[in-house]
Amino acid sequence: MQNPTHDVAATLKRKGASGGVRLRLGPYIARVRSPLPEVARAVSSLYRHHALAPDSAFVDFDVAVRRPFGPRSLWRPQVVFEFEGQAPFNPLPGDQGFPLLEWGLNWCVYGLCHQHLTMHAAVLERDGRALLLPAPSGSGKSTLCAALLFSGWRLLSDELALLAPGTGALLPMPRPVSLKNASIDVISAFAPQVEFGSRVQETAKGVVAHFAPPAEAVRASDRAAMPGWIVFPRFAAGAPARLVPLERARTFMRLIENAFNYDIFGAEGFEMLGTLVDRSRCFTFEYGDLAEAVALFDRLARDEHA
Amino acid sequence: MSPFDEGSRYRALGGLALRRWPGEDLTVARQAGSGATHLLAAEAAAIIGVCGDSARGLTLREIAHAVGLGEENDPEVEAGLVGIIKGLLHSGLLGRAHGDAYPDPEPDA
Repeated sequence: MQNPTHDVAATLKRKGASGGVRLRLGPYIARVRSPLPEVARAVSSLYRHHALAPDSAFVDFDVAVRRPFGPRSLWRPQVVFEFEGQAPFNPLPGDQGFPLLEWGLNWCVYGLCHQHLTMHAAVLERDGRALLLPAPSGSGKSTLCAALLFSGWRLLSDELALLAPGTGALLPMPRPVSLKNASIDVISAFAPQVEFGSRVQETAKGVVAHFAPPAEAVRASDRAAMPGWIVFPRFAAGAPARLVPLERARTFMRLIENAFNYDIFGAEGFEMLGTLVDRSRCFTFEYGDLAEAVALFDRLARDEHA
Repeated sequence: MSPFDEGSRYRALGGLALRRWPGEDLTVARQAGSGATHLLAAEAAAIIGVCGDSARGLTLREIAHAVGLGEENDPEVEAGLVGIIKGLLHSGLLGRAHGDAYPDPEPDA
């Protein structure tokens, strides 16, 4: 059942650092705790549209972000991510608590959950068909994804595609959208209504800022989408928007490159990716201007219905 | 004697899954033993197709004939064929047939 949008903040306040909140993240439930006010504020704001699971619900990931123990915290505060009480990563500088939480949650999904075939890709939906944007960091995937979600496309995920065995559908898991460096100002200019959280400086990826996923995308978290397009994006400054058909066999191999657990699925993974490719139109895409890119994707979606 | 002498016989290894899309030349192939997935050119996929997974396997000459190169007798074409077969052996998609002078490659070879 969907909770009122203010419940994340209210529950965090009521339960404090030890209780945390049980966030529904698409098919998963994460219990998130932090005694750090700046992390609690960011969770309250950036997950404000998310539903909460009841205290009795099974938790897939029990995570926390807190200060590590030790004297170092006195002169240079740090933060550490914990999964079920264990810290899988080195601590980061003290102001990187929320980005660390997000990276940790990504790790939980791609590293620990193998109910779905997981790929490094943004996923959006238009008229019931999913657009898969697989790409490594730095390719302009998240920037393009952000521009599309402000242009009539529904966000399923800006980072992790979840392909369901059996149905072959792409499952929604909308979470705060992460942008880096110049992309933050590019999206601020493209969509002036966007409300970023704190800009965190000097992370491993440069400056990072998040914005909350649209409320309607979160409300539609139980509505999967069947694949329609697979597009490998690449930003190139000054380049005209160019969509080039890609052979399905090459698409298949590039999907493997972006998949986290293809090997774990064995023969079923081969079939799942094959079916995904069967159902999709496949392209590479180079762009240098967001408005031009969005217009091209709108045409692509419209042509499908023509 | 080299592995490509007249007497050597080749067969596609069991557990191969192939996928090819209409209108495209390329094929993807997954080997069940190693779990590795490969992108194959049309020529390589054709060789796997004609070798099949029969225990007897095919000689180089029989493969050349089956893929339509039998009458060419062109050293360059034959060298190309040998190169593709070497690649397929290396990737574990093709093996030597039972009774061949050379043993099957190790799994995952």
